[in-house]
Amino acid sequence: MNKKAEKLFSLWWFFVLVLVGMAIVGAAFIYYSADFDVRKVESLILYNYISNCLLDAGEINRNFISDNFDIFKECNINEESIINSEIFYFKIILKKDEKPIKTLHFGNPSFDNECKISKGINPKKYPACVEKEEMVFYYSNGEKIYAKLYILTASNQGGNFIN
Amino acid sequence: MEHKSNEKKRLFFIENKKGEEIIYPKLIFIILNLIFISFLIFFVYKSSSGALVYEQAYAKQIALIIDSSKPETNITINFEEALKLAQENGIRKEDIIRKTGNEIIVSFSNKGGYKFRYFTKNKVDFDVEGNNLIIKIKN
Repeated sequence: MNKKAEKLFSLWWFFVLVLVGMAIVGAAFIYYSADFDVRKVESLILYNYISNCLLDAGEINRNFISDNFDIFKECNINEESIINSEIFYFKIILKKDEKPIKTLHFGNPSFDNECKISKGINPKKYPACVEKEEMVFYYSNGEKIYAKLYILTASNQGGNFIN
Repeated sequence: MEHKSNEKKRLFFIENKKGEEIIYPKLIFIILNLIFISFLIFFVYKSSSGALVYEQAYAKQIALIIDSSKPETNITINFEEALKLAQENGIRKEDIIRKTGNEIIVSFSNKGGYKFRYFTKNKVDFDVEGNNLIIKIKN
């Protein structure tokens, strides 16, 4: 091989090596700096937490119907975490004959619409949501009344690195 | 006669410029390549076993465990990697996890860390036994 070609070849070889190196560094950086996304798991945990607190074998907590029901006290939820942090949201609707009897919602209110918009597409900046509706019952004046309990929970907690 | 031949041999090696020209650039090139590849391997290894990854993983794992557990429960998780990283950075095992309000902060160095919030009102205590972390959840 003549000298000129050899020089050109080694330069080209070094350029390829640098390119491959940059790709490996970039890939490793992107992979290891990525967040572990646990928002869906967290909103599912919040859903289960609320559901377990309000329901006992399908029967809704008697106090829930009353006006002075404090979900934070009854369900042992930290009020500050839900309201002030703006990273959680939950909405509970008790419906009878498709008409709401009681509605409760706390946390970041914009999550309500964002959950509707992001349904099925899971955009990264939007919260991860869980919503379920189930048949429940409660007693009123000794009469067993069937109703539907709708619970929506959302979390957009990414966590933070601190310095 | 012999002296002359030795002199000739010496001159041959000194003046064999063509040989030098072939060997030295290739040798330098190989050494540079080796250095470059070593740096790459070192970077990838450091990234994968870095404190940042584990700080985040442990903080999230612990917060989710707290939220999903019932009161009066003790949960044991493997804490080997955290203890190893803390030891490397001179952090006492009692200082790896901090709790401020409803936030868990996991840190394997003197500054920084990763914080993650949990939503229950349950009281939480931590204990390190051997290579395990015991999360004690109380009412």
